[in-house]
Amino acid sequence: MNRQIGILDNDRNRLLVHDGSEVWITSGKSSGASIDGQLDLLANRDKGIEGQEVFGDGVFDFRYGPVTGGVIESGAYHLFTYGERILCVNIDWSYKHRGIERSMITQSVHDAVGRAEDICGNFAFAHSLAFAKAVESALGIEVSMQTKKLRIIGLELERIYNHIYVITQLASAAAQKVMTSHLQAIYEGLLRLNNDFFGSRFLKGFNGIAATRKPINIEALIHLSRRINGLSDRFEYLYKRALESENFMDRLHDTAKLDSEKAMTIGVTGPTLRATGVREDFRLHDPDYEGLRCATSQMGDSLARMEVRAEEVFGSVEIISDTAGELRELSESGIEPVEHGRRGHNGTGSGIGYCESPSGLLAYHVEIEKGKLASVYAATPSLLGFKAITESLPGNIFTDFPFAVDSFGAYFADAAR
Amino acid sequence: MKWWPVWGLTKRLTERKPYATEQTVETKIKIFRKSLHIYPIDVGNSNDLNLDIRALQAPQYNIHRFGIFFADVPRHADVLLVLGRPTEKMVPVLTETVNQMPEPFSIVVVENEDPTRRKSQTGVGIKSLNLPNVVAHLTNYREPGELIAVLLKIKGGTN
Amino acid sequence: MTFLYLSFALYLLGIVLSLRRELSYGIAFAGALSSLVAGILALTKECSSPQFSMMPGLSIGIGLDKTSGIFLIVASLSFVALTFYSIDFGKLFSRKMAAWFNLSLFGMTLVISAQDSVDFLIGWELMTIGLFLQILERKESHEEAFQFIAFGEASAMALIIGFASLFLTSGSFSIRDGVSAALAHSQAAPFFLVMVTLGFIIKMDIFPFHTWVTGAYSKAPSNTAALLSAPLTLMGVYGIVRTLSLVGYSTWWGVMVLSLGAISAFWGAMQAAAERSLKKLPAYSTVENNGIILTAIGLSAMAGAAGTQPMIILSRFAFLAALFVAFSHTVAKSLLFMSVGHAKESLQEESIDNVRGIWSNVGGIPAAGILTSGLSFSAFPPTIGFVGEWMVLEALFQSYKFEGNAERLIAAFAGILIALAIGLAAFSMIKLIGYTALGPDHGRKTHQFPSARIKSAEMFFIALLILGGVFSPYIVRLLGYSNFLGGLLAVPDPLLILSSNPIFGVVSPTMFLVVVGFLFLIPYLLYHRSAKKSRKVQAWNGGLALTEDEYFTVPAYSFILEYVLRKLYLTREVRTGYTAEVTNKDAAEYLYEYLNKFVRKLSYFVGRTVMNGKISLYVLYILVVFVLAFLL
Repeated sequence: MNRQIGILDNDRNRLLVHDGSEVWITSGKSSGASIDGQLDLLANRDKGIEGQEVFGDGVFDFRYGPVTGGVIESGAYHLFTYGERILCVNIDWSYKHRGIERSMITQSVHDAVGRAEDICGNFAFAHSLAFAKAVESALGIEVSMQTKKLRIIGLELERIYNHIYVITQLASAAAQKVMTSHLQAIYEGLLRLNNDFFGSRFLKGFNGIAATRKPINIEALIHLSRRINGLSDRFEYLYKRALESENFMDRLHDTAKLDSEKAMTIGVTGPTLRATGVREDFRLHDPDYEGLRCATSQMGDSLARMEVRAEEVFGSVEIISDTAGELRELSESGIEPVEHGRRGHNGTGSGIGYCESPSGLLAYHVEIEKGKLASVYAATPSLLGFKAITESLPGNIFTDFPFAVDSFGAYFADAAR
Repeated sequence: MKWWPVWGLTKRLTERKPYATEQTVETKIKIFRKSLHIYPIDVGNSNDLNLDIRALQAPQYNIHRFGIFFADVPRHADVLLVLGRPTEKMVPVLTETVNQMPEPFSIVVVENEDPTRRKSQTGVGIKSLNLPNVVAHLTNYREPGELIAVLLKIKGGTN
Repeated sequence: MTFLYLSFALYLLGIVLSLRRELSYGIAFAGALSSLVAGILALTKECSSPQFSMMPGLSIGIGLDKTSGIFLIVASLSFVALTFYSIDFGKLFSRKMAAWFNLSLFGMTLVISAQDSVDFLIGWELMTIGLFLQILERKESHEEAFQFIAFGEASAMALIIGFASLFLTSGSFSIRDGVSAALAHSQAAPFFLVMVTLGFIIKMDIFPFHTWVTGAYSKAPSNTAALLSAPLTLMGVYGIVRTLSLVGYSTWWGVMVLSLGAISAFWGAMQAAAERSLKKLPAYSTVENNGIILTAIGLSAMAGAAGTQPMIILSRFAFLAALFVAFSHTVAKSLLFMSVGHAKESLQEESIDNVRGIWSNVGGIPAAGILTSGLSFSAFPPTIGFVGEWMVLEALFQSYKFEGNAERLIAAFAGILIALAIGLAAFSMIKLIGYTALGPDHGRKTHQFPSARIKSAEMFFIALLILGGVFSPYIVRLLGYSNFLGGLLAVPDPLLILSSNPIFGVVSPTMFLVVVGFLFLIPYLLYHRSAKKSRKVQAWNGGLALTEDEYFTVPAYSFILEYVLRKLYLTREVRTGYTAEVTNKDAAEYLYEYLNKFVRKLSYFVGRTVMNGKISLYVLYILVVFVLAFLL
């Protein structure tokens, strides 16, 4: 099933679509206009999701945001309710819109990588990767094996700390105090690990066009492997026990349920889709990820999403260990030295780059003229994640809100750009 | 059933290193020696600052031992942490939040954008807003330890 | 006696002069004042008119004894305020209304002063008819008025049957004879008691006879609604007290009344908690308060029937509690309806959601009226409602003194229901006060009308509610219950109200005021004078001001409660397309719907089979009915 993820021109003619394995551009007329609502959503992506409303005796708009203790980012949820029951949801993230894509235009591709990272700090690596891939595809640049392997490590590290962060948020919302503290310790451990090996707690400023921007000590990666395994063991211990805690499970079970059909219609990807039983992961179609275990779950509720995330944490740890080993072998055999720094890329062209970010498909379309960016379009996973929230939240009650919202892993910064 | 608190105590996750910073803090308020309540407000950062503030609650830092606590509302807070460069739409929200702070209060501005890319920055410069009581402006924030050091200076005590 | 005659004469004059509305209400005010004086005089000296002998065993006359005096004072206080209030308020309605208003006051005064059941029933009917005609005042209120008169006539029928059985047993129509041993132990006494109690509790809006209150109260003009809620239900209380003075206490009756009262109190408070309409909420609160009164009377009867010395003390205390709640309810509910009516007519709105900000858009006095009466219903010291509800709970706490386990259990469960009722009442009153009196002003336009007298009537009752609470020890003494007063530690005699003798529980609203004054108010004032000016900011709501459609609504306030008790509220969440709402239904209404259906079917059946146009069948029907009536 083809799903639209972006509109590249004003009259909705050139659309960015994907089918679960790759992303391409198609004409709006040929892709079937049955999903007009979807295009409206994409066209309105600087502001948010609005237009749904419920009327009736006592129904009012409960605004949650833009500054509250419950939602960390500045954005507002408009929950229509007659008290406790959520009837429909509008989300306003215009507070967070910074216009980063526009600010990238006329910049050199190297400078723009940093701006792409600024779209969403906790998906910084995925953004830089998808952007770099788009530029590489536009200019026809080959990427060395070692750089590819390093990118896998960066992307999987990002996935691990994001997933752990989401699970920490869920545990914290359920007042699982001890578990939250231990998870926070693991989360902080992961951020420190990022800092120690990549020079940034949020993996910023590392990935570049066809190369890394910083040198990296391959010998040290063996420590990375050991440390990440240690953290993963601690997490596994906590997670196994969390699944035994009935009052924690009870909060997640049946909360914000989404079935696979609806998830496909919305076009949401990543753990949210996999939690509805659909085996779709862009890494499955990447030759660099051999033998990837694709974690799925069936129920489509917050619990299922948490299960998928936890399984992916374990999967990613394995990938990192294997990849770190392969990198060491590569460097010992002395085949390719690790490239880093910036080289002149002055070509012209357009291209698409995408990767599986922690919350799903993240795709970039770029047009480059003489090494300067002429247009950038970032199709971010959070936009569709929020759409999934507005579709699955009605019928739940206010106290389900954090369990529902956090489990989707959608961020205003990512959606608003 | 496990004795979780006992298990937790055996882990000794809290680190015992001093937190120091060269950042100057201009404050004369002496009443926060024993407790300091902070409220972070996101005004349009790229979310990594938000997540770093979450990490500040990790047991490694154990900020409660310094008497630093997170408040749920700005009205309960002593220090407002302004995270990032404000977007245009967040400016009125930020000024209203500052307006709601109880006297005496301090504002700490935290930014982490790469200073080399200044010309492509989006949003409004925080200096142009003339916020009251800005005691510290961290322009190149890197890790929570720096922030703890600043907060300790605001408290006016030692750790 | 002169004052009583005078007030009757003034009410009649008021009916005659109803073409001049102001004058008519003014005369009624004078009549109410005069009946108030008559009531006060009756506390010290009984009085009676000459008796007119109509037939053997029936002599008609009016008069006042101490019980009548107490009830007449309470009712007259309400009349005084309501008539004065109506001088301005009545201008919003037709001239006829003044006549019907006078008529119902006349009827009620007659009910209290009647010495025999014939007078009593005449007064009862006059009062019902007068109120019925007043409810009809508004357009499209036929259904509600009909419901009222249907329940009113059911009550009258029960009373007629009851009094007839009384006459058959004792050979007298008098209701002033005092307890006669012959009657109390006769076979007919239970039947009499059940019928008469039925008649009175229908008027007291006791569950399950309360379904008419929401319709009638909300449709009636507010001064009528106040009459319906406060003095009319007081007549029911008076009737029950009178009945008890005829046949004495019996345990089974006490248990019956106690259970009905406790269920009614809980049910009324529960429905009030979920109510969204400005006048239906006080209507359900009436159900609750009368339930509490009935519970106290029931406890008094149970304890009185036990007969031992400690139980008699408990019985007297429970009775005092019933009187106090009746007094506080009459005053507070009149005040509440006056203030709510004032706001409703100013803003021309029905629902609590739409009359927010009374304090700033209608005025401080109606808002203070809602606030004070609401606090009184929430049992907030030192209002008189607090004293009354404290007394009821104290009396119920003493249920351990009963000999039998069954009685203990029943009284304890009644106590639980009453405590829940008081809690829920506070919940609903906070809703009423918080949204209407103190709510945010949305800048609605108000409809102006002269309101000087309306405001003074409201102020009078605000003062009465608070002062009545503060000086409640004196009221206790005035009612003749001095043995429940005392002093302890620093509280001087007789400022302390005792709930039993030997002491069980004590309260002193007077001292409460003194202590609060010294320990809280004076330091607060001192602080306020020396404190720096504080900064005022808008309410914190995520960094933005609330827009019109973001305010928390009234249905949302109580939804959690409705959802948790959805089996009792029969809550349904209705979602159709783009609209959604929550509906509740009073389960008692099903009973009447079923009855209604049954009667319709029956009349259809009778119409088809008997009155189908064939003269022979019709004659046969008349014959059968005649023979049946003759035989019976």
